[in-house]
Amino acid sequence: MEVPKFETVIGGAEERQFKLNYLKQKLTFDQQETKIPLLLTDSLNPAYSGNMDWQDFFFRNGVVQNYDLSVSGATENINYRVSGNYYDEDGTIKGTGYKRYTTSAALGLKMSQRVNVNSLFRLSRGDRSRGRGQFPGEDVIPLTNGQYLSSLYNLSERDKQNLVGDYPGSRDKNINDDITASITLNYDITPQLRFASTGSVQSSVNSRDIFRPGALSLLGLAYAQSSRSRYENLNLDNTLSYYTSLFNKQHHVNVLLGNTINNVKNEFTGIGSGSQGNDNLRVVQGYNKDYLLYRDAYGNLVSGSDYQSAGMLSFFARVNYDYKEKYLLSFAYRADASSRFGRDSRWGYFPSASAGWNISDEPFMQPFKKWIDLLKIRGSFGITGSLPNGYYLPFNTYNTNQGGYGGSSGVTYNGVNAVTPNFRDGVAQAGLTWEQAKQSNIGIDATLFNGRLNIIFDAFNRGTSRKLFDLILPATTGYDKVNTNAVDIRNTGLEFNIQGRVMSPSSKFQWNPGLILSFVKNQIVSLPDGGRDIIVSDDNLGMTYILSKGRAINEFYMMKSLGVYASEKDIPFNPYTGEKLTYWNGNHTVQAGDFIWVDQNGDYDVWDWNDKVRTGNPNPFCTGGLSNNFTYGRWSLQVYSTFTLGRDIYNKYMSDRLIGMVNNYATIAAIDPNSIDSWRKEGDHTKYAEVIPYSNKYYYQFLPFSSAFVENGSWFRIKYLNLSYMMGPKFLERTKLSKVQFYGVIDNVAMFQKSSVPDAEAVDERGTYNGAGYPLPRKFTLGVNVGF
Amino acid sequence: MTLSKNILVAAIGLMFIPFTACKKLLDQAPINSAYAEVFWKNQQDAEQGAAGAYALVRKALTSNTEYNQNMSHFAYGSLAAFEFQDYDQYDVASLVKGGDGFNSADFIGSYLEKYQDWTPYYKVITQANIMLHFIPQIPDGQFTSAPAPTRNRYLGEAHFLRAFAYFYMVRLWGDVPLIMSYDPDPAHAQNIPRVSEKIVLDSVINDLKAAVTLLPWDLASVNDKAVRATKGAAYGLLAHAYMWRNFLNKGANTADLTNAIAAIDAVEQSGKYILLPATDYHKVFHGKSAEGVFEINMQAQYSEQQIGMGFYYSTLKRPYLDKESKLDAPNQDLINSIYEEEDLRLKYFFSSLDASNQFDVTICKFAGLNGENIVRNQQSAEGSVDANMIIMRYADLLLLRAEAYADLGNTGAALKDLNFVRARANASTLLAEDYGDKKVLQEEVLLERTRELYAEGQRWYDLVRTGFLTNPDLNGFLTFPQDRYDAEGWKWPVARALFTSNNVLTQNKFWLGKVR
Repeated sequence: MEVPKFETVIGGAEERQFKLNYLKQKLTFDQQETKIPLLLTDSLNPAYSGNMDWQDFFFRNGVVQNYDLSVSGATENINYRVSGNYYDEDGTIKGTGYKRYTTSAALGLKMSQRVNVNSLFRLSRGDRSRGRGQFPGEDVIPLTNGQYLSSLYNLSERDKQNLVGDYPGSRDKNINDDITASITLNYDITPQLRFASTGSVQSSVNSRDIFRPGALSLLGLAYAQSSRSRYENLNLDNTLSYYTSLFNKQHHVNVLLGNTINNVKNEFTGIGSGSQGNDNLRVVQGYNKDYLLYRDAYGNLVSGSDYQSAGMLSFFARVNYDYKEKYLLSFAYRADASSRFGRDSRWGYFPSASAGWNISDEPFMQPFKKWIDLLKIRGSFGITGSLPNGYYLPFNTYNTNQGGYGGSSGVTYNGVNAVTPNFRDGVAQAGLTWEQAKQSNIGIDATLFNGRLNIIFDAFNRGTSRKLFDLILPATTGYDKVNTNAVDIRNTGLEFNIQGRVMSPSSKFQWNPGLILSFVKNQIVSLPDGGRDIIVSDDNLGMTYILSKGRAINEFYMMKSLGVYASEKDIPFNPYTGEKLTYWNGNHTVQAGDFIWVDQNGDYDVWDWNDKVRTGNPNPFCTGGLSNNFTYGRWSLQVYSTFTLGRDIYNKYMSDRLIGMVNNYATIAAIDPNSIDSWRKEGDHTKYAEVIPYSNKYYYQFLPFSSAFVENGSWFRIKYLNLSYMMGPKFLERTKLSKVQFYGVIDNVAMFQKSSVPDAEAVDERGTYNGAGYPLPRKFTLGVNVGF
Repeated sequence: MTLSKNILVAAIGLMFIPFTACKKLLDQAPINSAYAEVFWKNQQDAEQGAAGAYALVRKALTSNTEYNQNMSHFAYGSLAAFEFQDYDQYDVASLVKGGDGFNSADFIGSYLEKYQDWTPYYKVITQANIMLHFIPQIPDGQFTSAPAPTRNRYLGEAHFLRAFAYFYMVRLWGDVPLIMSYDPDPAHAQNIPRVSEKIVLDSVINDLKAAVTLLPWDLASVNDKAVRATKGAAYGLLAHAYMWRNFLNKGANTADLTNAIAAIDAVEQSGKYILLPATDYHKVFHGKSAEGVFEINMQAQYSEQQIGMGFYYSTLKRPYLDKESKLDAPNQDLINSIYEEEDLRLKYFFSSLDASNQFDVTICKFAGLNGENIVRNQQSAEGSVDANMIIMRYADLLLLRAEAYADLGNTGAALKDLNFVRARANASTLLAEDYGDKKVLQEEVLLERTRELYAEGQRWYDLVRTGFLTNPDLNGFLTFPQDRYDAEGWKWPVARALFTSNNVLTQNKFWLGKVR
C-alpha cells in the first residue's frame, strides 16, 4: 500500500515566520497584541520549538500479504474441502493494520440413496491494530478541525512512541473471533418429494483490551479497559419441495413449503476505569468510582453489561409453474412473526407473483433465430416487509439513575435512585408492525448474435418503502422523539446491464466490455403531521436537510451563497434605512470579502431562521460500473471502473480547513493561505470568503450554513487493473502442477472528479464528505496462483 | 429403510418445533431496562418513581441556554427582576440589560430559545400522570409501610408536582396545553392546544387541594425534610396559586386573598415551621431546615450539588470559591435603597457591598457568610456550594400573607407578619401610622419580600403579580414599560421549536411578529 501524496505544509522556524507574517498582515495592531498565541511568539520555549513533520511521522508504505491454501476431494459417498487463509495488511498509518486467520471445512456425506448430509464449518480471527492505545473515542491521528497540528509542537520521545503505538507497556488488543457452522440434511422421500433441513449458527465475539500507562496522562492516571461483545445468530430452516411434470412433460410444477426459526442476540460485558495503580497491572482489578468510565464519548456502554435478543418465526410457500419453459408463472406467500412487535401485531403476510414469457421460443420468432438467441420478458409484483432496528419497541422502557442534571453527576434524588421513563427514545410503539413495501418490476433479458451481446434491462417501482425516521413528538407528551416509519419514499428506476464480446470466439485476441448503469429516483410520497416539511439537523456534522413531499430525500437546506462580494460597492443596502445588508440578525454588517448570501425574505438581513432554501440534492442521478477484459493468448488484462454522476456534495473538508485557519491558525499545520482561493483584496473574484485568523468579525461563515461549499460530486474512478499471465501446458507438465498463474493488481488506479474534496467517493449517502485528507490509497499486489 | 424412517420421524419432529418454541421465541421482553408493564409493582418502585419526578423538577429548574448556565430558576425569577445590574454572560445578560429594543427582560435575546421552551415541565407532568395511573394499582401487600398512608403520600406528591409544574408554566407563559391523564401511547399523541391560564390555574388549585388531603405534615424520614412534598408544601403552593389567581382576576374576587391567608394560617397553625435566627441563615440555605417549606435537593451529601456550573457557582468567587471572577453584578442601587443599616440581612446576604467594581459585590447568602456551605473535595477543587434550591420557606409564606392582608386593606395583620420577619433581621418595627395609604403598605410588602428573598428566584413573579414591575422607585430606578406590561409582555414567548411538533399552538400576543 502506497503512502498518500502529502499535502504541502511549511514546518519549523519557517512556519513561525510565515504565520507571524500572515497574521501581521491580517490583524489590526490591537489584535496582534492580544490574539497571537504563545505558540508562535514564544520561540524560546522548548515545548514550542519543534519541527515535526506530522505526515511523515504517521505515514509509511505498507505491505499486504495474503496466503490461501485449499484441499478438496471426493469419493462416491464423501466430498470435502478444507481451506486456510492468512491475510496481513500494514496500515499506511504507522501502528495500524489488520491480520486475519481463517480456516474452513466443508464435508458432504451421502448416507444412502435418499439421504445426504452437508456440513460447513468456518473459524476466523481478526486482529486489528489501532496505533496508539486509544482511549475510547480518540482518533488515531490527533487533528484539529480535520487538520494536522502545527509543526512547532515539540513532542517528547514518549509522546512520539505513544502516537504510533510503540510506547512500552501500552496495550490495545482488538480481536474478533467468528465461528460459523451449519449442517444440512436432505431427504428424498420420493424422487419428487424432498425434505431439507438446515441448522446454522453464527457467533461473533469482539474483544477489546486497552491499557494506557499512567505516564501518558497529565494526572498520572492509568487507564485499563476490557470488554467483550458477542453477536449470535441461530437459524433453522425446514423445507419440503415437490416437483412434477404433467401432460407429456410439457407442464412443470414445483411446490415448496417451509418454515424458518431465527433468533439473534447481542450481549456485552465490559469495564473501563482509570487507576492510580501500578503500571504492571494492565487489567481492571477493583476500581475507584470516580474514575470509572461508564460510557465513552459516543455514548456507548463501557462499564456494565447488556443483553438484547429477538426471535422470528416464518412460514412460506411457493409454486412455480411453466409450460414448455416458455410461459412461466410463480406465486409465493410468506407469513412472518417477530418478537420485535407486540403480541397483536407481530404477524405480517407477504404475497408475491411473477410471470415470464420466453418470446424467442415462439414459432413466429423463427425468422429472427439467426441473431436472437434469447428474448424474455418478465414482470413481478409483490409485497416485502422490513424489521425495525430496535429489539424492544413495544415496551415503554424506563431509565434508572436519572438524578443527574446540569453540572451534577449525582444519580439519585436525595439519595433515592431516580427512575423515569426513557423520554429520549423509549416510547412504546404499541401496534407497530411490519412495514410493507410494494414492489413491481418489468424486465427484458436478451441474448443476441450468438451470445456476443447480452442485455438485461429492468424498470422498477419500489413502491413505498417506509423509512425509519426520528419523528419529534409534541412536547406535551414528555417524550422527545420516536424512531418510527413515518416517511414514505418511492424509488423508481431503470437498470441496464450490457455485456459484449467484441471479437469472434475463434480470435486469439478477445475484448469483452461490460456496462452496468442504474438510474434511481427517490421521491417522498408522504410525511407525518399533515405532510409539513421537516427540517432534519445532524448535530455531529452541523448539516441541515429538508424533507418535502414530492421531493428527493435529504436535500441540503442552507443559505444560498452566490460567491464573494468582490468590492464594497457591490453590497446591497436597505433603501428605507440606508443601512447595509447584515447577517445573523444584524450581528454582522456585510463587507467586501464576505460570502454573498441571498436574502430570501427581503428584510436586508440573512440568517438561518428565515433565509434558508434547498441548495442541493445528494442523491445521484446515475451510478454504474464499466469493465473491460482483454485476453491475448495466455495474457489477460482486466480494467474495472466505477462512477457516480449528477449529485451535489458538501465539501466539509474545505469548510473544516477554513474554520481551522480562522480559529486555530497557530496550532494547526501551516497551510499556505495563498493555495486557497479566498478573497484577499478589493476587486478579487474568488470562491471563498476572506480568511482572517482570530478575527473578531468571524460570523460562522465557514460552518455548514451556506451553499458556498456545495460542489458537483460526480466522479469516475479506475478501480483496479489486473494483468495476469498463465503458464503453458509444457511448463505445467514439467513441474507436475495443474495451474500456475502470475498476476499483478493495482487498486485505485486513477480518479477523475469535479469536486475539490480529496476523494469524491468518500462521501456519505447524505452528501457530506467524510473521508480524511487523502484519496483512497493506491495498492499494488503481485501474486502467484498455484494449483497442485 | 429403518434409517429413512427414523429420519422421517425426526423431520416431522423438526417441523413441529416452531409451534412449541413459538411462545418463547416471540415473547421476548427486555432485561436490560425496566418497562411500564413490570415497573410500578411495589413500594420501592413508587419511591424510585417519585424520586424520578423530583429529579425531573430539578432538571427543569436548572435547565440550560445554549451556554452552560444551568440556572433557569434564577434566570426566570431573578435576572430580569432588577436584582442585578449586569451579568457577564452573553445569553442571559439580555435578561438583565435588555436588547432587541428592550432595556431589560429581553426574552428574545440570542441563544435564549431554550428558556422559551416548556418541554422540561411536561416531563414532570408526564411522570406525575404516570404515577397517578399506576400507583393506585399497586396491591396493598406490596407496600412495606402501612399501605393506605404510604400510597396516599405518593399520590399526594404526584398531585403536588403536577400542580407545581403547571403553576411554574402559568407564571411564565400564561396559557399552556393541559394534560391531566396518563397516555399509554405517546407515539400517537394528538397535538394539544393551549388553554386559558385561568383554567390551568384552577386545575393547579384542585391538584393542590387533593395534595393537602393526601400528604402528611411530617415525613417518616427526617432526611426527606422539605425536599419531598408535605401538607405544608401543598398549603404553601396553594397560597401562591391563590395569589396568582387574584392577580389574573385583577382583584375581582377577594375570596382568592382570604383563601391564600387561610392556607398560610394552616401552615402557621401546624407548628411545624419556625424562623431560624439570623446567625443561622446559612442553615436555611443549606436546606432541610425547620424554616424550609419546599426545596429542591442539591446537597453534597449524595453528590447532588452542582460543580463548576449553575447559579451559585457563577455568582461566587474568592474567598468562597477558588476562582478569580464571577459573572454577576448585583444591583447596588437597589440594595442600598432598601435595607436599613442595622438590618442583619445586609450582613448575612451580601459581601463586598462597598466594592468599587460592581462585579465584586457578592451575594453570599447561599455560600454562608463564612463559607459554611462550601464543600471542597476531589471532584471540585474550586469548591462547590452545598445548598438546596429554596422554592418556599416560612418567611416567604408569612410575607405572602402580609401581601394578601395589605391587598385586603388589613394594615394591622399585614404589619404583624412584616414585623415578625423583620424582627429576626433586627430591622426596625414598622408602625401602623406610617401605612395609612394602602399603596404605601403594598410597596412596603414588596420591598420586604425583596429584602428577605433577594436572588431567590421570587422577585420577578412578585413584581408581575403586584404590578410594581413598572415602578422605577421600587426597582433601583430601572424601568419596565407600562405598555409592555399591559400587553402581557411580562409573559415569555413560546419557543419556535415547540411549534414544529405541535401545529395547533399560538404565540403570546405581545410577541407576535417580534419572535424571529
